Amino acid sequence: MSVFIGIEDLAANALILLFKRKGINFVSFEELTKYGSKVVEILNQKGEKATLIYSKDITNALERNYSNYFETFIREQKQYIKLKDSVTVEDVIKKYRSYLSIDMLFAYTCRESIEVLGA
Amino acid sequence: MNKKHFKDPIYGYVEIELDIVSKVIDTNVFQRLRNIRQTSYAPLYSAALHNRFIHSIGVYHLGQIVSSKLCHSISSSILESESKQTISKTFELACLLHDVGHSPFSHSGENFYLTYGDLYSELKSAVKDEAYSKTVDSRLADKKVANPHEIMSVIVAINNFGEVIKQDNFDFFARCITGYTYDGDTSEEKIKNCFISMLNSDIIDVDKLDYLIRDSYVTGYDNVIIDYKRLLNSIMISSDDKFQLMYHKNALSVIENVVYARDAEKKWIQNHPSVLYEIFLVQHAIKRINNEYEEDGRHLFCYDALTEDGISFSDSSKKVCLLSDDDITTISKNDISDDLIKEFYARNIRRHPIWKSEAEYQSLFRRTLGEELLDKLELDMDALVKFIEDSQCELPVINDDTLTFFENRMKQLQDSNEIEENIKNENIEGIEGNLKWFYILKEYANKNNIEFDFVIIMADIFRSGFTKKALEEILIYFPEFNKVNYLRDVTSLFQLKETRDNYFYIFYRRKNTNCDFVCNKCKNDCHIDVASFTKYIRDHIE
Repeated sequence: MSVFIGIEDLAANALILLFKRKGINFVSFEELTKYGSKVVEILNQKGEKATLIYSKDITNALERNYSNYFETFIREQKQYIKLKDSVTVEDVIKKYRSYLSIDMLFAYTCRESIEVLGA
Repeated sequence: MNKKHFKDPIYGYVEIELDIVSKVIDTNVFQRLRNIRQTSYAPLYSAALHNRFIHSIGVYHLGQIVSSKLCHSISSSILESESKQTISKTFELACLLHDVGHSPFSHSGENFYLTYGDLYSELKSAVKDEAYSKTVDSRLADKKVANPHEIMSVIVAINNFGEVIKQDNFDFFARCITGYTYDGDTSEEKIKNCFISMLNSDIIDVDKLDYLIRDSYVTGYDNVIIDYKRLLNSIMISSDDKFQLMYHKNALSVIENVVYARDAEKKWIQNHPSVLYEIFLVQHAIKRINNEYEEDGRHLFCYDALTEDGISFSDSSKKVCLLSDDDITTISKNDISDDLIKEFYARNIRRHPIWKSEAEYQSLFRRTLGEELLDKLELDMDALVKFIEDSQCELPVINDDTLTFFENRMKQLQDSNEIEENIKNENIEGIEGNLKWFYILKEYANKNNIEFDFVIIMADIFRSGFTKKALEEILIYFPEFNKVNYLRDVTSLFQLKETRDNYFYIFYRRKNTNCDFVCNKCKNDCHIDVASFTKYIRDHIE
């Protein structure tokens, strides 16, 4: 079965790890790219076909502050995505983690993925 | 040169060179668009049956007007006549072919194109241009890639009509369709960027113009009239070294009308619960079909399926070529029918929205809950919809089967050795948070003697096009005093506040599908009472 992973899914799961482990509430797009590639690699190993979706409409919406959970900023010419102050990690888990199959949850949270994030 | 005349109800006669007709339009790859419906509005407007074929002809026609006006405004000292001609013809071809790779049923299936190999590599291979490849990589890094159907349209067009487009023009052609502007500083690149923005922009381009005008005309929906001739005849490229696209001040009223028209279509048609539910049903059918037609990494939604050769699977009955709406309906009716797919074909068994517009929703919830509780409710519903739709359960419906599916998943998670204990516990808490609403709705159904069967769909809160930055930054030229201003500086339109992000509909099954009465006149107690239901929801938020 095909699984689509958007930038919000990646950001959410990366930020849950970073926040819980290091108290960090932002991550760069560059780090997300590496994290996404690792998640897809692990899912493919488990026989799940996963595809990353980097839609301009979603990214533009993030930049215009239209997301309930995330916002973007630029620092030293690098683009970052961060959790909004009004959102709790539990809210993010409820939306972006609770639906995951065990294989997907493993891909997002296993040691290899955590290492890629530096979490 | 000899031309063929296509009669169009909106533009009259659209003239197209015979060469393009025979080498592009008459081919099966382009003719496929006759069987791709343009909109999902048919549940609301029965005549909304126009297709992407006639839309593409319409966009081509408007593209011809644009290229003529823009070329006219470029001095031959800046660009030679031959270069202008090449840019013009390539742009017009891009207008004609901008949807040639479109998936069936509007945009519902296009993400599945991304599961076909590496679409971005295919795009770079087709265009074969180093600068374009760098742009593709840069957009990937910024997470701002073109829509999958745009990418597929470039690939299909170049692979099938490369000789007509010509290799030297592949880069510009691809940029017109994907919207990837040039980053360079040359006058030619800046001029080309003006053309690109007239096919792919946030506010005004020939694609949007045609569908706004055509959707209104065909459906019978009385929308604002757009004087496209006045609008397109007023565009020009500035004569300074910035080479920016701008509009003569005569276009001001039409620019506003375009936004009003777009707002009306978005608010009253695209966001109508009947249309949203139709899209929900189609997306479900397409998802099921794509999962069914998947073998060794090959999917139905791929380049091969759009061509005459098509795609075959080991089950010899599963072969599809020139993929169109008909294939989706045939497969879904005959091979993979389920509860939701049956609903697509029978209106009398469709679920009904409890409230029927954003205005009703606001009246029922915003005025009674206050911002904080409304925030919580909407976040809960947003999470719940994703929970159900992305979880791989069989049907994205809140009912006993889905409840059992999630209760089993919770158990599997509890028993799993692969996941760290604290992550397991966090996830179980998240699942329970979403299942809370299953239990609330189940209790309501039991108490009110209706079926425990609900569908929730999120809808975007309406945001006017007048809030878009791209609109504010349209340049208006005042010839009387030779001045150019941003639109925002010459109109009082941009005073609107930001609003919330989204809201939701809940659909349910009426007890008596033959009931003719609207909710408050029904004597047989087969409708949910809107006021009591929403009070019930409000009472259970915390």
